[in-house]
Amino acid sequence: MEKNIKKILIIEDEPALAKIISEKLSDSGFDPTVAADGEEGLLKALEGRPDLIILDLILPKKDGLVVMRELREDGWGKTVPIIILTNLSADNKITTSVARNNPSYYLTKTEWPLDDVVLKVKEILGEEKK
Amino acid sequence: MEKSRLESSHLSGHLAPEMTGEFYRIALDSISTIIIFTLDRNLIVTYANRAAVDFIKSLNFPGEVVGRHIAEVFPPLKPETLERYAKILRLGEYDEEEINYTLSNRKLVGEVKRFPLRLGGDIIGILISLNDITERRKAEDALKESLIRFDQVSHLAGEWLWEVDENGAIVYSSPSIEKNLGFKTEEIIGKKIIDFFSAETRDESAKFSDGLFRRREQFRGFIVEVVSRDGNNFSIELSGEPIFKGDSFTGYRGVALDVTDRLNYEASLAKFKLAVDNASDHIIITDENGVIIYANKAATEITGYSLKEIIGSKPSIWGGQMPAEFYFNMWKVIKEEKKVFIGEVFNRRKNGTRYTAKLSISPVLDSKGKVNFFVGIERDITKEKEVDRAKTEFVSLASHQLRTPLSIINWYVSELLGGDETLSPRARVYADEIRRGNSRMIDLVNSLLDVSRIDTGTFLVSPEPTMPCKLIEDVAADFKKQSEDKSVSISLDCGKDVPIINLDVRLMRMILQNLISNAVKYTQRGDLIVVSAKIDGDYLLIAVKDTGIGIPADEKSGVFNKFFRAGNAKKIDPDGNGLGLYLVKSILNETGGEIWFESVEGVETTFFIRIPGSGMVAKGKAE
Repeated sequence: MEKNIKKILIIEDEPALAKIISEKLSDSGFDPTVAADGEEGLLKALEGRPDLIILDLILPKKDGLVVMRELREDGWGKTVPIIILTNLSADNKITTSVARNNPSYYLTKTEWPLDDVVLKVKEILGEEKK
Repeated sequence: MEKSRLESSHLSGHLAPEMTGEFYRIALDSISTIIIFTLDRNLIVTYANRAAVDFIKSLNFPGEVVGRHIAEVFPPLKPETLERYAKILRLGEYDEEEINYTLSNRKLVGEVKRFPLRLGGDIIGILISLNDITERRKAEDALKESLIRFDQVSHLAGEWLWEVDENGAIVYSSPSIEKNLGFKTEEIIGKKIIDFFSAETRDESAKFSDGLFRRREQFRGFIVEVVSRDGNNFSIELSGEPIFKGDSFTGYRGVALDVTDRLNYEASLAKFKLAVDNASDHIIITDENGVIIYANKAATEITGYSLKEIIGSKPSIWGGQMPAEFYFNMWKVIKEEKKVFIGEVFNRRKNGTRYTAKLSISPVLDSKGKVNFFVGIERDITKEKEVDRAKTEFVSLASHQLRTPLSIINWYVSELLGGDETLSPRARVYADEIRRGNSRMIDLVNSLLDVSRIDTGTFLVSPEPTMPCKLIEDVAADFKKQSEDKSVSISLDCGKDVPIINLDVRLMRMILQNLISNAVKYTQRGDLIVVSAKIDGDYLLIAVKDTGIGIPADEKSGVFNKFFRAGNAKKIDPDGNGLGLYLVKSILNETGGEIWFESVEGVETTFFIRIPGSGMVAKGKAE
């Protein structure tokens, strides 16, 4: 594996979604890892220190907002970019959390074509100018 | 006078003959209130009693009156009066008349009586008596006056006055009875009161009446039903007093009141009370200081306090759970502004549990605008609130659950179509149909989410300074491809004077997107859509005009209804969900705006929206 390949952790409990995101990112030259619940996601994040985390909100064991909060308590985790990719409509609580935990982004799955998600990832990682 | 012996057919008695002259003189002199003169046949005064002498003196008549002609004493004596005297002397007939005269500046009424004086068979003179009947006349007038007054009052008061004899036969019936029952007084007199009672109440009333005539007691407020000549039933309240002349009972007299209206009123009042008593809402009435004077059953059931505990207390026994400003404001509205207060409150039941109530308090004012009572209505909406929350939670959960498989389909089908996988042309068409159906489902779920947020009031309105023209341009640009595909052109006409206005950009976008999207969808190839904005008085007026299929006249009223789709629109675009205009109208309703339209089927449609120049009205946090 080349050194400059960016590692991306996908925390997503829906296997079909995790699979296609993972494949798509892989095709685009990233190194994706999948975690199927919040606890596993947090563990994999702290161990693997990915360059970017794609985080679902409704997750077994630990929900996405808690994962984000705990990540931000970690020295390394403070600055890792997080894309919340969910189908939950943004209520106050979500909006506040996203605003408080920069760098973070909020995308709704049904509103975002997969290609655009990949573009967003590239943009955040500075691989493609907007 | 002592020289004459008087005799008169009108003066009678049995006295010793030797006493009569002296007796009469003393008697006549001692009558101080009656003035008495006697005249001889030449009308010369032959006698004047003491009262007469005093009377004459008071008229400043000089000297002795006896021996003077009557015309000298009372000048000027009218010829008719002289004629009367002549008649009395000629025929010996008694005569009387009433005169007005003045004595010591007092206007008096006098009764003059003139008697012929006979001696043997001859008429020898006249005796004149003048009796001051001023007081008697006054008393008579007063009596007459009071009778008239009594008549008028009884007439006006609508009271029926009656009197029956000892056998119960009517001997008096006031005109108001004739007026109300339609029977002539002559028809009433002689009948018994029970003859007028309705068949239904006659037996019972007859029993009561029999008892009364036995006991001879007064009675009050006995209610009977009587029937008028026209066959109408009246409810009558009878009261009466027994009449006794000396020791013997001679009947009853009393009043009757027409209480038909009152009884009807009481009956409907009782109905209202029953309704309020048993209403499921908690209803109380307090005095102007908030002390409870009435509480219905629901009030006791909801609060858990007994009626005994509630009456006389203040609503604070279950209230007081809100911040002080809430109550301060509430009192300001109901007591100072005298308006209806509507709010949502937390209350505490007797057992300590809290509940949410929708509260409305109305002040009841008297004719001078002073607060007499407050009527408080509370509805326990704790359950509704729970249901509401559960519904919101369900919708957001369901939407999440729905969106997950939808995003799976969306992403996979997109990969299928967009990737380098080689698909047969047929498979490509199928996959495209799947994509189309799926994106329609996504739109529906999104709209349902918006609707549920609006219906439950859990959407935010956060206006911020926005340039309306820029926003319109942006939204219109989103439709570039769609309109170009149909070669429909969108022209923008935004007034230069349109200022920056406080708008919620997300909601405003939703509004414009819906209106422009409809315009594009329902417009023929090659047509023009005009989106204009201008300042109209105190409002921002935006119009979206198309030259499309229009809205059928008979379907215009349903345009803003949830899930409504006009027949012609369904044909052109079967995919629409009928939520767009409902959402737009709901958003505008919630933010102080308005929407309306003008349309001619097959020609054109213009939707107008109006937003206050002060901007959209902000709405608090969702949670």
